[in-house]
Amino acid sequence: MYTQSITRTHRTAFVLLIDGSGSMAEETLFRGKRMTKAEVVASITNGMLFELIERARRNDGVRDYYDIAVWTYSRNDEVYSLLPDGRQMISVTELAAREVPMRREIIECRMPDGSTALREIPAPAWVFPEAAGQTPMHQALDQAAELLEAWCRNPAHAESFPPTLFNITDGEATDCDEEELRSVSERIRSLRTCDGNVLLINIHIAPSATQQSVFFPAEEEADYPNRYAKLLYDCSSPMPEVFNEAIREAKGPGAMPPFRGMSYNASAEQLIAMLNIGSISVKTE
Amino acid sequence: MTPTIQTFTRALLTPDLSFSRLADARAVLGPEGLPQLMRTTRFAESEIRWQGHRWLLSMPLSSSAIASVEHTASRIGRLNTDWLTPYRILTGEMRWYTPSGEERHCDLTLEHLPEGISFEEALHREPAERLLAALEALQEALRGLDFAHNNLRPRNLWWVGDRFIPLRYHDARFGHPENDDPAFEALRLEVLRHADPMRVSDVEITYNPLCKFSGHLWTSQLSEGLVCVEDESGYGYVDAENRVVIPATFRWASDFHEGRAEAETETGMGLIDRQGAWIIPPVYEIIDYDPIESNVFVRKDGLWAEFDYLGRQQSEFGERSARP
Repeated sequence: MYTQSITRTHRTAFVLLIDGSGSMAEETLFRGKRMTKAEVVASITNGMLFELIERARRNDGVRDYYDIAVWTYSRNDEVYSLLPDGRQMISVTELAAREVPMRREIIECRMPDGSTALREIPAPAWVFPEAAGQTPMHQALDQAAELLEAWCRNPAHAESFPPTLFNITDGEATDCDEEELRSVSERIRSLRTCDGNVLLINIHIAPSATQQSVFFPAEEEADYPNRYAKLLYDCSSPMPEVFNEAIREAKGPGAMPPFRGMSYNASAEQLIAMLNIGSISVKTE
Repeated sequence: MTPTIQTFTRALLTPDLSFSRLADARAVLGPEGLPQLMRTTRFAESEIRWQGHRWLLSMPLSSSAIASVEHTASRIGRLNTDWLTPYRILTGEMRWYTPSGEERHCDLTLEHLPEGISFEEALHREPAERLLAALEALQEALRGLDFAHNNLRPRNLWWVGDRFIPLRYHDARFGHPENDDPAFEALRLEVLRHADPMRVSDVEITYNPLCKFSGHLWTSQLSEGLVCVEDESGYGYVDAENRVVIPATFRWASDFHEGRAEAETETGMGLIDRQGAWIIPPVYEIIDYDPIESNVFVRKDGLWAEFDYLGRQQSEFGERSARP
C-alpha cells in the first residue's frame, strides 16, 4: 500500500481546498512581514504549484504526472476553482503550458553576520488571495468527494498512488455540524485506488503567530482539550509509512509514528512543511 | 531534508546571498526572469555563467543523490583526460532555511559546459562519416578510462571541435564501460537515420542552414524544406533561403513532418499544412501528431479523440485509455 511511484502511466492527483472566508483577511506574520492569512496561503499555494510543475519537468517537457485542483470556499456557500478558466481539475502539463501572471516577491535573506537583506524576485502567481463571507467547508469537501470519486473510478488511475486532499482553513465550518463533517471526511477517506485510500490532510492555520501548535500529531498528542482540534484529528487520515521519515525530520527528534494528517494552529512555515511533505515525498520517476 | 526546487530557484536569483564560491555566478534566465530549470530523477539543474564560462549547476532532490555521485566526481577529478569535462561536488555550497527557519547548507554539483554545439546541431553541420568516427573515438576513449556514462543520449552529448564530449555524469560509474554499448549503437543509428534523406525528408539538405537564418530570435532545423523560426511576433516558417513562407503569427509551432506541423494560437492547438492552412482548427488543448502512423490524437476538456491525416475525426472523445 502507498508504494506506487508517480509516473505518466500511474498518475496521481493533488486537491487543495482553501478557506476563503472573511476571517482569512486577518493579518499574520510570514517571513518577517505582516500579511493577511489569505495572502500567505495564496503565496504558499503558488509555491507548491511551482514545485509540482518543476518536479514534473524533464528534457522532453513537463510530464503528465498528476492532476491538480485548487478550490476556494467562501461567501454564501460558494465553492469554486481558482485555477485558469475556472477548470475543476487540470493536469500539471496543462497548468505549465498556461501563461501565468508574474508578481514581484520580496524575500528576506539572513546574512552570516545576522543582518538581513531584502531582494525582489519574480514569482509566478496562479492563484490570488480571497477573503469574504462564510466557511462552507462541508460543501467544499462534498464536491471534492465527487471529484475524487470520479478520479478513482477512472480505470487509468486504478493502480495509481491515491489522491491527496489538503484542506486549509483558519476556522470552523459554517454549513454543517460535527457529525456531518465527520461523515463527509469519512466518505473521502474511504475512496481508494489499488494502492491505498485517498489521503485527507486538514491544516488549521493559527489566528496568530503566538498560538501553540501541533502538526502531524502522533497518537499520544491526540488528547486535545480543544473540541475542534479533536474533530479535525478524527476527520484526517493516518499518514502512511512512506511519509514517516519526512514527518519525523520536520517534527524533530523523538517524534514517533504513526502520525495523523492534520494540524491545529499551524504557522505559515508549518503549512509549507505539510504541503511539501504531502506532495513531494512520494517518489516520482 | 533536501531543499525544494523553489528554494534552488530563489538561490539562483540571489547568488550573492545564497552561494559560497558561486556568489558571483549568474543563472541563465528564461523570458519571465526565472532560471531555466530541468530535472533528472535525482537532481534539479540549471545553467549558470561563472568566471567567463558556462556551467551546469545541480541540486540533489534526495538525501542519497550526492552520495551516489561522490565516487565518480572524485575519480574524474583525478583523471588527466580531455574526454570528460570537469565535474565536482561543491560541499555546503548553498545556504538555505527549512520552513521552521533552521539554517542548512546543501551540497551542489558543478559541471563545466564546453563551448560547442548540441548533438542535433552537429547532425546538420557535420558529415555522417565524421560523426560516426567521433562516436567510435569516444567509445574507445571511455573504454580506456573504464568509464560508463550510463545515460548516453543526444541530449547528453556535446560536439566540441571535432569530437563528442559527454555531459551529465549523475549516473556514471567507473567500471563496466560496456554498459554504454547499446547507447552508442542507438547514437550511430541516429546519425545514419539522419544521413539518409529518404527517411528524414524528401528535401535533401545540401547546405549549412545555421549560417543563413539570421534575424530571428530562435530557429529550429531545416525539415522538409522549411525552418520553424521565432520572431517578435511569434512562431512561423521560412524556406531554405530565409524567405517567409508562413508568417510568424503562432504562439508556438513545431517542425514539419510529412507535410504537417502542430501549431498553437491564442485559441488552442491545431494542425497546419505546408501553406499554413488549418487541417485541424486551433481549438484543442493538445494536438499529438504521429507522422509515422499518420494519425493525430486530440484532447479537448481532458478527453481524447483520434483524427486522421486529413483532419477527419475517427473516434469520439473519450477516456484517456482511448489513446495508445
